[in-house]
Amino acid sequence: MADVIKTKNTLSLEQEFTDGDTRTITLDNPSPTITAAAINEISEFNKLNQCTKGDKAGANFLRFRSAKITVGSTTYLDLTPA
Amino acid sequence: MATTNSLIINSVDQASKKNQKTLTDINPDANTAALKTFATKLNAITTNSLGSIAKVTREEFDPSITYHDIVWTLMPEGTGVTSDTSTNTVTVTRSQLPALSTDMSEWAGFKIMCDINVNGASHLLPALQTINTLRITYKMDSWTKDPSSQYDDVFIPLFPDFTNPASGGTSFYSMYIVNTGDIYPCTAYITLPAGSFISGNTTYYYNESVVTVNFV
Repeated sequence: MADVIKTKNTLSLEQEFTDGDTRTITLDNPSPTITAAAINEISEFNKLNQCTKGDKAGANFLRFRSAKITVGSTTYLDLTPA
Repeated sequence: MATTNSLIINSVDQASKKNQKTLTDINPDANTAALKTFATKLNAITTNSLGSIAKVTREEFDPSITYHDIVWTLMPEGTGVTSDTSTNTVTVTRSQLPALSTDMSEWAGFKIMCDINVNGASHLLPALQTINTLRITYKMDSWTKDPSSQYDDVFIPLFPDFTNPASGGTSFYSMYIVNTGDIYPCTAYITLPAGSFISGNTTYYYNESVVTVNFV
């Protein structure tokens, strides 16, 4: 046995709505070739089609306020007695 | 309004459900074609090989039902904790928190209580009696010592206060905070989902409500 290291990368897209509300979409395994332009394009699409909503009625999606890629790793120590 | 809309995007592996993703806060008025395109675009920026939309679930609300706003009572205790009931905000100044002691002789924190007001009468939410943890969503990823770790959602136990008979024993919940050096600046949210409870012969409905906890 040996220590086991598992990695998990996530993409957090913070949505901003007209009422000031924010909601975050978290996606696992972001593409390594992801670009800001691609995210802005999705933001524009969502703004045009209002696929998501905030807390209150009539609160429209404005934009993705931020996009964050988090690279994380977890180490599971091998506790087998030597 | 107690409306739940979710968009489920399935993986190509239907059996294992691997990579299945559920998006919440979907606009019930959005058309299916737009949702499908939206899902496809999200898929394109991941390596999940997500497939098409599985389903859009909608829990429609009954317009004849009146949903009440939650009224929070926030009671800071100890040093380093203040609250503003007008904005449902608790501010925790980390540098002022008492250090962790083995006997917990010194602590800071806050108690919370929530009710609704119907025609001038206050109704405490018994629903809280069944909740021993509340969902805390951390906005930043610096909660833990390891800044590479991210916890979008963690669950922190809130301790029912059995010492206050006026509260009926379980209407107050307490959060204890000590300065272990682990708390980085962040914003947390205590979210009470929309729901209902029965008192007498009446069912009361309430909106989702959030208390913001700023660690500064």
